[in-house]
Amino acid sequence: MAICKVKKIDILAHRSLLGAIVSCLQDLGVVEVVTQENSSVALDVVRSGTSAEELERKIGEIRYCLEFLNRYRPEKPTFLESFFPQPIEVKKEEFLRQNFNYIPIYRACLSIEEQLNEIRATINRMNGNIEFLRRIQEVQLPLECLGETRFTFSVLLEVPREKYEPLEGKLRGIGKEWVAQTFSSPRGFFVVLLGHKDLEAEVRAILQELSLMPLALPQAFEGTPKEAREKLEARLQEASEERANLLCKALLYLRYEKDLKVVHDYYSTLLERERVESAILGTKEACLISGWAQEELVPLVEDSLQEVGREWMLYHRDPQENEHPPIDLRNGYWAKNFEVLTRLYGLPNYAEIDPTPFLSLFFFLFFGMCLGDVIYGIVLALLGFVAPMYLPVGESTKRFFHMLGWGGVASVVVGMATGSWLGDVFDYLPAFLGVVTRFKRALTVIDPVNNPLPMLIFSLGLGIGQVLVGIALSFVKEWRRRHFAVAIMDHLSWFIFLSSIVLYLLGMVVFGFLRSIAIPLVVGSALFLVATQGRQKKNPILKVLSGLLSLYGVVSYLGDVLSYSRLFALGLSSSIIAILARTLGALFGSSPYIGWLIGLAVALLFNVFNLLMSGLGAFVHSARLQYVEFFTKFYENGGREFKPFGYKTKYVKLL
Amino acid sequence: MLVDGLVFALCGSALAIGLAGIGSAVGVGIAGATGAGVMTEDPGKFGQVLLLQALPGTQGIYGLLAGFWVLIKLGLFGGTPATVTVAQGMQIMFACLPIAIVGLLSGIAQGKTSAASIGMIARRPEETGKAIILPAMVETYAVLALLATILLLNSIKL
Repeated sequence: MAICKVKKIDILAHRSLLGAIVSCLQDLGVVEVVTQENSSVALDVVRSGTSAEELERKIGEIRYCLEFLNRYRPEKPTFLESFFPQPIEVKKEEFLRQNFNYIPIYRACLSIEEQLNEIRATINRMNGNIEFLRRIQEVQLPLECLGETRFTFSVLLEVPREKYEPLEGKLRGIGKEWVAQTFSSPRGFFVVLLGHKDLEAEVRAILQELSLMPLALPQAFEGTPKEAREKLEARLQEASEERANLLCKALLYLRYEKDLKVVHDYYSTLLERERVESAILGTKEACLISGWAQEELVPLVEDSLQEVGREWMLYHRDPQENEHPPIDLRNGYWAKNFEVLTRLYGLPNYAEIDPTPFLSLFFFLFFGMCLGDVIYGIVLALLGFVAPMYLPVGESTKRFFHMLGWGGVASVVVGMATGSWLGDVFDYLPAFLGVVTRFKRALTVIDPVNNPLPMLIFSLGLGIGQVLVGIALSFVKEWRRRHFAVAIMDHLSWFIFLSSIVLYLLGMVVFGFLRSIAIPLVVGSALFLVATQGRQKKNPILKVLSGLLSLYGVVSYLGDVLSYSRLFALGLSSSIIAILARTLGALFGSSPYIGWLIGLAVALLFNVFNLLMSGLGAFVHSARLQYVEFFTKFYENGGREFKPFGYKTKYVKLL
Repeated sequence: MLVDGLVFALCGSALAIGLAGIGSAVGVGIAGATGAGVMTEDPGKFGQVLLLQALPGTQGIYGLLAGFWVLIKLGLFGGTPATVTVAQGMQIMFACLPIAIVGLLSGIAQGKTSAASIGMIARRPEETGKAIILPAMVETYAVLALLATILLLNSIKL
């Protein structure tokens, strides 16, 4: 339970072995490869990264295929599947012998997409034309009549009723070399006007005067509008069929989806190796591969490299002061579920204590206090422990679920002690279940709804506990770094001062004898603080003054402790909303006929809502207490995650 | 006499539920508007956005809780209603004010922080955890106000 010890390893090898060694390290997946800095020998990049571009292109093409297939997939993944996709299980040897040729599929996808786009454009155009033809379907003339000849011109007009007379009158005025055929239209008339070319300019002037726009045909049609439309509709049908055929064809390629995913991960793996290889420096004959590995795994690395060849040397050493080794948290069965909280804030640096074991205990307690209900706790625990068994989740998600599950367990315990079983529902059970009610009441220690003060004091007590643990940890941290003066003067003294104040307060309330022990401790540690806290100052008066002023720090500790009152408030809030659900349910339930059903639904709805919101609140506020009140006492963070060089797969799970 | 006291007590209950509710409504509204903007770009962030949008919703719940406690205290849910003097009614009303006022203002402030956090996960979805903690800092004061209201209400004897 702590931060894993790591060693810096340097592998000096002949250049011919570079590829083999890098492959071997990737296969092992236990070394984080780093690029060398400040080496005294001038080293060059051993390899250029040109083939990386090639690999990136391939990965891009495969990704295109996958996206293309995904778009036309008939059955969409369910909500759960989209959150927790099922990984493809492949044996490692098979994965590494991957030679699936994706290029034909890529070409097919490209061509299908191109054809689909073309058809889509055609269909859009045809739909537009059909719309137009439907509009002018009253025109009973073959549309090929419209157009120009050597001596005639023609226009198709839609004339509103009130403009028809003026148009006719004006046309009569310009001569007789024209004919017009009129058809009814929804807004007036369609007029097909055929005239001699000599009249064209005058006709156009008249049209402009009456602000009539000739209807332009979007393309040449054959037959009357109705015939042309029917022909077009038949062709539209054909195009839709063709589109459906193409989609079917695309779907055929879905059976290669698995292969595509595997080959995608295969190339990603190659790309990763390529990137590492191209960052390695060396001379003409040798290369130097540096990295970090967990202490106990260094012999494994050496053994595995034996198979590669003999022209290499491996040196390993402990990290130096000025280095920042990567951090790998290693906690026990229980605490590891809470590592996510430490990660959320930031990993510890290599020189400090992993706060996870301490945090896990407090978070567990706090979450229980904030949710504080037996039934909610059972639901959450079931969800947290059972759901990961049935969902294909990764290790980190599983741990998160387990953390919630443990929060549920804590909530059950706190709920029993405070007598909150879905609020006070269990007090209103029918008579034959009286045993359950009596059982519940027998377990109840404090009833915060009717007597809130003890629970509030308990919350503040937990706060005092956590703040003191925080100070103690900072003492241990400084002591281990051999800063003995700082450890004693700044941390131990405060620890004694604060805990003796707590003892004194306890003495005032219950154990009277504690007061006599506490008073000398309080005075002594206060004097010690006054004497030491001003030690940075040169002026003796300032020394005393700043020493005195430092006692004011009690206020900030008091503020921290008061912040824990939220544990009580949130716990009470979830119980009271559960009571509210019960009351409203009973209110609706008392109405006749299906009243009981409505009442049940209302109560259920409220309870589900309460579980969601109180669960979120419990998580957020318990986490906040760790971060703001606890971590500020001792935690430095700033660590970097240990990311071993290995197979990074997106779809595949290697066996 | 009974009616007079009850009027004040109910006024307190209504203020707690109403003002804190307004605070949450405005806060959730601000966060939701930003969330909708983010989801236009990436609808896949629905889960995270919803989580952050829900955070300023707690003030309304706290207000409801306080108001409801008053109603239980007055015995208005079944049973005989308690006799409330004017002084007691006013005490109850004032006891409701912390969560009413703080709920209103902190709900809005938390909504703004949530909106900013939603903006943060739009660019850095891996930092959702941190984005959730920031609005929760604002909520501290609503929790403290709720605590004050509960303790004050509890100290009033009917």
